[in-house]
Amino acid sequence: MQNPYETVALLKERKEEREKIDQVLPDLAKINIQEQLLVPQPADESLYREMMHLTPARIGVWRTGTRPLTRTMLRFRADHALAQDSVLGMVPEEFASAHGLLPIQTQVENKEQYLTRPDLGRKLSLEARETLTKGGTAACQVQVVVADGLSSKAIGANIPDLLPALMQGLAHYGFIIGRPIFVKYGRVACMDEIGEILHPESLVILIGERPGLGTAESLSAYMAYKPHRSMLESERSVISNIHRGGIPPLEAGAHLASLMKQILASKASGVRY
Amino acid sequence: MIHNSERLLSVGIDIGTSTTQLVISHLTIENTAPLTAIPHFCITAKIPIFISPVYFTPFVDRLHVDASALRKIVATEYDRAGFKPEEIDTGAVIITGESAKKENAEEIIHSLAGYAGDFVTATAGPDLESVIAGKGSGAYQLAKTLGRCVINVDIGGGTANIVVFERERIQSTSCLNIGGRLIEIDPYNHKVRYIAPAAAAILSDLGDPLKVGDPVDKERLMPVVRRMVDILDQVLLAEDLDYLGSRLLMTAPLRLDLREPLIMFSGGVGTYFNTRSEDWFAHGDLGPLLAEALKEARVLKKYLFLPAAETLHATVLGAGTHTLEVSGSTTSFDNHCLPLRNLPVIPLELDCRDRFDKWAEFRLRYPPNETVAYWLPSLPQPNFSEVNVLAQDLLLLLAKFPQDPLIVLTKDDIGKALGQSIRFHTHLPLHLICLDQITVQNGDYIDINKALPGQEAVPLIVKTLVFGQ
Repeated sequence: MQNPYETVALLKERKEEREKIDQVLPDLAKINIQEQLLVPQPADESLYREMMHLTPARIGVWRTGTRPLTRTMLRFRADHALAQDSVLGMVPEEFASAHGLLPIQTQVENKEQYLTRPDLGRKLSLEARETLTKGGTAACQVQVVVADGLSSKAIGANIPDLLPALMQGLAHYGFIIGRPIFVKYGRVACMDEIGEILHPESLVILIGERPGLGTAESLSAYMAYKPHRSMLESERSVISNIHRGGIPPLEAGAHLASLMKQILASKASGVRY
Repeated sequence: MIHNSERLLSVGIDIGTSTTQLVISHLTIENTAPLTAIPHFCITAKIPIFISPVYFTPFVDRLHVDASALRKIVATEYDRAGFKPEEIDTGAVIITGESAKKENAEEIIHSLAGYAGDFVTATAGPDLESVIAGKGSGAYQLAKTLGRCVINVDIGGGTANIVVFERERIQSTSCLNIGGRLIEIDPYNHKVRYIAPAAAAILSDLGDPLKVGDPVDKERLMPVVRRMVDILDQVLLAEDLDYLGSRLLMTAPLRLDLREPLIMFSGGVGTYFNTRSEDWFAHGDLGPLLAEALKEARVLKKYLFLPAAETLHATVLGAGTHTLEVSGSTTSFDNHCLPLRNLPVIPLELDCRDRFDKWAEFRLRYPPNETVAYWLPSLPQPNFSEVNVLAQDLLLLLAKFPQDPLIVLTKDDIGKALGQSIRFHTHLPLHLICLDQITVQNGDYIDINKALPGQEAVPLIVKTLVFGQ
């Protein structure tokens, strides 16, 4: 397997080159396929258009012989490449400080290890534990955590709108909010250890979802009441599919604030809620 | 903890030119979203459980509907159905056709709606009537299922209400002042008893000297009903209207942009279209004759005819089952301020220069002390700071035109974020109703119900209140 660091460096190197090419060749992945009507002379164009708008799935793509058109094939590969970029890509170093997040890292050391050792993505590094003890907020009512997870693009695309809407909502309810944390190479269950170090009453982690071919920018929010290491997966609540084409990030932020309120009120999350 | 389904009892009451009817239905509202998504509530079932007999609409005189007789009809039918007004959750009273032109129409409909149940809404207006009848007749469902254009023509006593559905969209509506009861005939001696102003216009166009007291038969009246059908043809085929046609048209003309449309007829005249009458004056009016003339309509040679699923009950079924909507499920509101009724809707343009001045200008069209609902049209994917600016602008508008509560409706799914932002930016105690995923038009009114138990989704009714002159 290729070293992901090299991949990232290579991508950066190619960026300028790509931008030049973009001016000549339009980026396939930028075309909204739900607006792209490839069937020549459809019997009912407006119905066709409406059906296309109903799903991001690749329907109504026409054919050549028994095979898809070249542009359909290329688009498929372009979307696959985007999904891979999203998994292999990194959230920029300056992201955490730009959004007022306390950066920490799990025991994972690089992308390859992140993908092959999910267990390490659930454990905090020694340094991270120290950072939390020194710079984190102990025993707050709501702790917000952002983690890269399997999609760096989901973080960049959603957090700038979701996070302030969530914080505004939580502030409006008058909760004591901990300093938000950014976890590099994080998995959902890294919340458990954070819970044991800082003892927040409730915690919500915003984490990039494994990208699909429809979107590479989808985010999930997992919520827990008093997270701890022996908790069961079923004790977490979840809202998934947060992205511009799904649950809009802004509205998701506002909604999560009220879900946290409900979790605190009922002192339970997941199936216990 | 989470209620995923609610069953509501809904009443529809139609006060038409000639008949008054009442239907009680069960509406089921369900969360159709998966567990990991934000809830999404839809009306998933509409089942009529009680249909009243057809009453003649009671009148005190030619200018006044009989309020106490109407109230008695509703009381009697509730009693027969075994329900009390306080058990009715929602519904609509619609006053239609010539009845909507009576002097006391507005007063009656509001008082009857109040009597019929806490959240029974009062509605009127030819375009709304067209849509409601088209939904009640089954035309809407058919257009949706077949993916086709379906035209519904609901011909009652006083008006013909036309709606064109293109799949789930309403393409156009129109209303003509033609109907079965524009001339009344004594069923026993077959003498003309009454000629409505619209009928007088048709007669004068034909140069027909018919007057009250004249004896008539089928042949004598056929030219009159044929002329009505001719006008209807002009509208349905989107032809240029002649002088009489433009006089009888009560709304904008029908806009038609369709291929292979289907057409169906509902209303009293629609009932006779599908059956055959021998006693032409059984109801003392032109209804059966108009249906007979309709069978020769030119439009039937152009568009494919299908019988309506419901004819006589189309409007009342539509009023009882097709008026209620449910807002988005992430909203922000003070439930104790609800329900609210008859709020005029003021659309606020977003992408314009000096938008605040424009908003104030719109607002000034309504009395300053009236509670209004502000509606924000499409605002696709706004970012956090845009929503904050919007919230502050809305608070400025509230400062200039104080009202309690502040009511904001949006088209896009931003109700909760906007609501939280509005609350965040004010230190004053504020009652707020901020609902999303609502589509309204300028001139509409809205009734907002209490929220579904334990939910943020709010049932509401978007309607018009247009009474004839």
